[in-house]
Amino acid sequence: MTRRFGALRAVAGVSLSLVPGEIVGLVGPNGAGKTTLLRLLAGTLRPDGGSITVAGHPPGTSAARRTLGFAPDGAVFPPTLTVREVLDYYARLHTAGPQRRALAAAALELGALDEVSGRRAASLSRGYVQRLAFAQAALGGRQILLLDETLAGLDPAQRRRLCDQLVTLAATGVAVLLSSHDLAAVERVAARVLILARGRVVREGATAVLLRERVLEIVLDAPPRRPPPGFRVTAFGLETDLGGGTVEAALALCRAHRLAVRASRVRLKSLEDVVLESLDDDAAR
Amino acid sequence: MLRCALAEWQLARTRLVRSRLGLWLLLLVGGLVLVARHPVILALDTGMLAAVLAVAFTAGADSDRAALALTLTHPTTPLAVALGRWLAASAVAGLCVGIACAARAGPGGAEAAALFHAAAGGLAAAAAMAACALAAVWVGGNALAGALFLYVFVLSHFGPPAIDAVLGNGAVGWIVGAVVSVLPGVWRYAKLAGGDSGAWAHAAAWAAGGVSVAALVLARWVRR
Repeated sequence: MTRRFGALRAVAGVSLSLVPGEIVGLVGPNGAGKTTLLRLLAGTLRPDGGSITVAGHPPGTSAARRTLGFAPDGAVFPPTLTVREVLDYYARLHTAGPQRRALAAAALELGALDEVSGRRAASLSRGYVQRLAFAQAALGGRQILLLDETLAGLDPAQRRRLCDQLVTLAATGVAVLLSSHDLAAVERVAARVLILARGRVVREGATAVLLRERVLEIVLDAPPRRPPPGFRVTAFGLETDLGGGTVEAALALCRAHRLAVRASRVRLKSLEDVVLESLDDDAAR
Repeated sequence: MLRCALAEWQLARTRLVRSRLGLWLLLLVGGLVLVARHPVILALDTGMLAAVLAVAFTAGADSDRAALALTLTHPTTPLAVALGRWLAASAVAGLCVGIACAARAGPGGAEAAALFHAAAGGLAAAAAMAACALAAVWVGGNALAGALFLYVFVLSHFGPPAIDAVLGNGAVGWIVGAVVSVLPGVWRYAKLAGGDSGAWAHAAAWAAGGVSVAALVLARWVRR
């Protein structure tokens, strides 16, 4: 799918599919097109090209909205309603009678919003707004969740709790597309990661595959004047991707460059490494 | 669709008691009951001005308009939302008309038949004005609601002949005359109480047309 805003190509030829029970992380720098992509999928923006289907339905139709929940970043709720009333209002759009009350109560519990259920939506702090946005998106047992920066503004305990809930929901067959700058959280919950830059997917793959590469970190007595080929300078010395090479070969190269190695360790790549590397590669092209 | 439309009443109900809407409506009804001389004009002014206020408070504020984007990610439609907001605003305005007419009648129930007809006309005028105001605020926000309030309060009492007499046959007179002819107005709806079919058709056309236009505006606005 593609989408332009004037001369700016916000989304340029992105192809994406979600399968039930999968959590997909959507990461990339600001302005990469993550929010535009989510809004296209949610049906609040029309694509200029390409097609989108939500469980076989065009996005934005009533059937698609029943299946797909969207938690936008900085969601705005009817300001005079309390948190409980906001969820009740949205629940009314899904069903009526006792089922409606059950839906609203379940959403209140899912968002862990009991303590603020009587507070007006307009007076909530950012973290509670994000939790309310998540609760209304998941309301009605929707099978696809689009979460735009829903982890932002949450305290560590709430972030952990929400991550656990996403994993629990995914285990019941809910597909989640999570856009976030919190790469550690994405690394923790996402089975697949899409790295977006300038409206395009610059790298995509299973998280386990993306993160299986090893990195050798080397602590030096003194910072190097110039790193050996293939090495990067870090705050404590050097680091390099091992790829198919060995630790011994890398350390021998350092010694050949007269670098005093104090210590070394091998770690797996983090998602942050992968994202920054992918963005650098994309910028170099 | 009806369930989705009725869900919108929840917003109007909370606005009545948790914002200044209730206070403004009380002041409006109290003021008009004190100053209005004719029951028909009382019902029309109350209904139309209350409709504008109700729409401004339930649909026209920036926060309300921003919240619509999220509402429309749930299984409802722009038409259901527009219909629900219109029904809620019309109901609030209708309540004001009822209170104003009941206050005018007093405990003796004098002029009961005339007041009943006036109230029916006021309710129809409120429905037409609510639809007009809804379409206006979703196009231009509460600035247009303010303009409509002033229009109803002052200009809409004068028909095209009176406008011609005051402003003459120039461009300004023609434009103002056209506006007064097209928009819901007290001068035209004063005939509602007498059962004038043209006035009833005008009010019905505005109610249906205004809700349809509001739904179209909303649909274009939330899915660009």
